[in-house]
Amino acid sequence: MNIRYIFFAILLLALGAGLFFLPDPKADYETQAENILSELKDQTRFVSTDEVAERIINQDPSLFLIDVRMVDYYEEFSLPGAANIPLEEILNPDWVDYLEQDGVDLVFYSNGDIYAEQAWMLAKRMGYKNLYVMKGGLNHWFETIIQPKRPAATASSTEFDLYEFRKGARQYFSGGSLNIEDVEAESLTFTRKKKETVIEGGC
Amino acid sequence: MKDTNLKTNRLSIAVLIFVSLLVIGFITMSKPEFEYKLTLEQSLEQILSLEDEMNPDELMEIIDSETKGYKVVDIRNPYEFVKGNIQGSKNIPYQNLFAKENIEFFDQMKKDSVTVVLCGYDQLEANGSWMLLQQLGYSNVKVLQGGYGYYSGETFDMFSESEIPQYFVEEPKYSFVEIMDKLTSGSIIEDEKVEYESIIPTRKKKETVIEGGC
Repeated sequence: MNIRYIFFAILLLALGAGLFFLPDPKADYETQAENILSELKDQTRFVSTDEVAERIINQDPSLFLIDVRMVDYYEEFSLPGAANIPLEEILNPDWVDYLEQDGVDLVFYSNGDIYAEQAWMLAKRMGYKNLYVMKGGLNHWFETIIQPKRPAATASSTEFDLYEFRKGARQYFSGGSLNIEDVEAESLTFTRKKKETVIEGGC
Repeated sequence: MKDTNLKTNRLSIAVLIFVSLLVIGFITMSKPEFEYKLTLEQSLEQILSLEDEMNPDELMEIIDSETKGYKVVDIRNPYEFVKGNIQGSKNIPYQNLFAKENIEFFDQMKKDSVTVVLCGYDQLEANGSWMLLQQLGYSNVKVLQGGYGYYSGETFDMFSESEIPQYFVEEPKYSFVEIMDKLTSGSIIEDEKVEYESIIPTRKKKETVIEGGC
């Protein structure tokens, strides 16, 4: 009987030792490559500069901006309320508190959008949630929000609405000291032409 | 004596069940289909080195001189691919990147040590696929800066005065500080003053066709 107990004890110990040979437990919480690919397929990771501007203006508490550029760039200019996590340091455990926020949308941005997306890819693999990329980055921010282009007179009314929003947003981001004479957009009236009737003859 | 025998028998059955459960657990443990070959740190290092980003001018030279050992893989959808593509490129829409035949293709390329150049419409489109392939150990995969759009000239801005090549999207295109200073001091941006001519579209008259019978 004693021999049996010893045998069982050895068996369990051997199994326990087998745990050491399990694959790296790190891999368990990392997002698998095929799951990242399926997230790449739906383009929901991108947010537009307009959306970001609107959420900053509305002081949306669920928006958290992360500037992934180098510190020098960040100190020179950054979006209001943005935190700075340079891409080189994204794996640093110091940033866990920034990256692990429940119910908060983390929006990465850089000058373009490559660095921001690379940060997105790495953070995604680390298993963080609610990650986004500002499409076009700050270059596009300046083209749309800070220096909006007046749409052509023939543009649709939604384009004019967007232009009006961007002008307002620019005023907000430049501290409101700006005076722009409002240019009235000429409204074009379209008249529909009457369809000319075609005389069709049958047999 | 009989009693103790029964006890030990029960015990051995229990242990056997326990052990077999463990064994089943080990066997059915979910194994990832695609295993990362690069750790996060290695992956970050690989991105930052910029070594695996292909310059469009370099690619043009490679294609012009028909240098062996390079293969362009276009990851856009087949519709975009048919409309125009880089000479000699193969179309693998990134949605099917991990399909069996495509993984076999990348394995073959790696075996033959052919450099694969991934190309999307812009660099951003191919970035994710490139990073995934790199992380899975396909170290021969590069990404095309500027993408097909720049390569074909579609997104190339001829009037740009910047000296920085346009495929470096991470370079600031404007002096952000200068623009913001101008704005806060209240000066009007020139762009605002430009008067746009209004264009009134004129529709062409449809010619009427008199259709007759017989």
